[in-house]
Amino acid sequence: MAQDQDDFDRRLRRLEDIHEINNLMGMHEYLHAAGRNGEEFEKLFAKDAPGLTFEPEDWGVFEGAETVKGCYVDGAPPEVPGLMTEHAATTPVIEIAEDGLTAKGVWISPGHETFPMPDGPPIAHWSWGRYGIDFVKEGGAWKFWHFHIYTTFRTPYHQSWVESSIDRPPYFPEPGQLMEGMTPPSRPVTFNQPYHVDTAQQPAPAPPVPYRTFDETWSYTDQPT
Amino acid sequence: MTTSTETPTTLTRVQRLHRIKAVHEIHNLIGRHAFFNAAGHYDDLIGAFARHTPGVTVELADWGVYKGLDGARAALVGPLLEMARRNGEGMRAAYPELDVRDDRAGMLLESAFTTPVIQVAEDGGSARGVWMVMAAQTGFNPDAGRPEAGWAWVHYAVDFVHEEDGAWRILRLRVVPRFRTAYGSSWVESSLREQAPPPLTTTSDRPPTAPLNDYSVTRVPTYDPIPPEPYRTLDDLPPL
Amino acid sequence: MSDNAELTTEQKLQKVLDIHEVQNVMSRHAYYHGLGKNAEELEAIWVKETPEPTFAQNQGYFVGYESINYYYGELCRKMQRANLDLLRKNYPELDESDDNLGVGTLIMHPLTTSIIEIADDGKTAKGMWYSPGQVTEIMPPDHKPIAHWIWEKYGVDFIRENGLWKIWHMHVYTDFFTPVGESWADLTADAPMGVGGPPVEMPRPDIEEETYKVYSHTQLPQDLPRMPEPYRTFSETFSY
Repeated sequence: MAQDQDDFDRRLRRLEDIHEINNLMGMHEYLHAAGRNGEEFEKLFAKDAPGLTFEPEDWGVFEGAETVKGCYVDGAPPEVPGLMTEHAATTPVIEIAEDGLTAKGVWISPGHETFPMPDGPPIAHWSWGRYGIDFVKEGGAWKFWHFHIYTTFRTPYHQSWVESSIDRPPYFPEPGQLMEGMTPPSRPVTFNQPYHVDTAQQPAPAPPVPYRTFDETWSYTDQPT
Repeated sequence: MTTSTETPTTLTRVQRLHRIKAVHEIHNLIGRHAFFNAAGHYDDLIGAFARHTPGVTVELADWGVYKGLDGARAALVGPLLEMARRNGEGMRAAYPELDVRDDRAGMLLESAFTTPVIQVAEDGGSARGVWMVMAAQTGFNPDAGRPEAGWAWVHYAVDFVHEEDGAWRILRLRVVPRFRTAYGSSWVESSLREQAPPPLTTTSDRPPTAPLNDYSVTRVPTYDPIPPEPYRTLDDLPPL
Repeated sequence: MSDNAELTTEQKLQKVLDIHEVQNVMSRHAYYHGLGKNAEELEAIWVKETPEPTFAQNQGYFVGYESINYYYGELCRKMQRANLDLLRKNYPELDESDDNLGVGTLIMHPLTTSIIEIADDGKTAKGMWYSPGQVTEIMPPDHKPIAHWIWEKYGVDFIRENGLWKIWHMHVYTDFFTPVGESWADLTADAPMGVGGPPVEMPRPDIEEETYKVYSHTQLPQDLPRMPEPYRTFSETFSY
């Protein structure tokens, strides 16, 4: 009987964990859209677990709290009139480790970004991508641990992503070019492959499969195998 | 702020199961809302609102706050019927050869609900959720003289109650637009043009709770609606 | 989800676990299909033993393992090879290796707005999703990639095989498939779906039936797919 109750509790806890992970992902999107990267970093990113990493698109991998903050917070675009960014979280595949200490999830993210321009009105873009994220439990709450954003495309509203992959808009920064205030990355990009006419889509991020403990699985900010 | 439901250790297994079941019932309820809206199931749309709990409100954009089930119908169904009426009128005038009988010919209103953050009250009697909604909208544009497609991204903030008959229903619903644009224009371009008047045929019961915050080149996006935090009971919820 | 008082606490818990697993399976479909790995998808998450699997689209049903394996699986690979041949007319530096299958294409069908019901007997499930997606394919006459918006709905039946949830009946209902830069609102009732045509001969569905219509000026909002409702066992519900 006690074992049955333990099993019930374990499965109930797993469902609660999945729900919290979904909520965490949603919170990321709403805070990021509101330009609250600092608040988000303080409250949603792991601080105690070793190995915090953040890999946003083509900038490289940022390791450790200070460096991640130096990218995600210090390098965030200033909140100015006309700026708007939103990234939706859809199509989740979420696995909680059997030991309940870590989790993995992937999402497809349709989105849009509008950037003020120095000469003329802001320019609207469609911006689609994917997330591959490892989570860790700290103090009873789930936190982002290895956070990887994969670019699918970023294209001006009036240009298809096929066209913009061939004729890159001149105002786009160069691949890997750091934003003002951004700390340099700790190591190079592990994987990021935006759409291009002469490349095939790769299976990254790979949806997670059930696993027992984190040392049996991969990190989303390691080189994909 | 916390990310987690931080399930209070005082809750029993049955209470915890009720709360986690509630999350999925709310997903289903919102999914039905989206499909009822698209298919024109107006009675079912309103049927998903609370029947035994006072305080039903609906607020769309800056159209004001509508109260009660009658207000929900006025706010949600009224504009849909008005949009259909305008659509039918325009289609019959522009395409007499099509013999349009149903006002909704050529209308398409599809809303994809994404990015949920849902908190179920500790007492299991209510919940609040927010969603990002991507929408594809199509209807007759009299200025263009033809059906016109458009995109809209909005945020939904919804309060739910677990009613005495065991069903979860919508208590309060608020829609906050992020942008609306005709297909041929970016939302930046649309924001610089005068917008068509809303398809309203009624007056709200209260003024809007916040000014319109559609995309504008002169505005910084606000943190609105605010995703819910864990809470104990319905009365603890801040305004939507 | 029904709050069936006859279900035990254990059964209620299992239902919620099953909802999560069903969502995981459906999401995995999106990831496999997005890579053009339809054959691998069939192997991994579709039924193997259950009678009469089906795959349906607007134009009808493919029924049975052989038919689905060919239409959804093998044909996908054939189309990739044919597309590569077409693309190489413009990009001769691409070689014909399998590594280049899918070059220039992009398939994303995000899953949103879910409604999922697990049967009380725990053996089957039904789900409905809205998918605001995009597809880039190699198209005639120029044999270049063309980006499209594609918005669809899914109605899917799932069944447990050997303890795991599998896709049993999948039905895709396409609202519009339009090149980026062209509006679906410009589609008339007789407009072909998409640009040009597929590079390989497509078999006719085993059951030819117009199950759903793409957007057109005369199309009314469609009340499909049917929403899943709580149910006890599959014989009491409909099949997608």
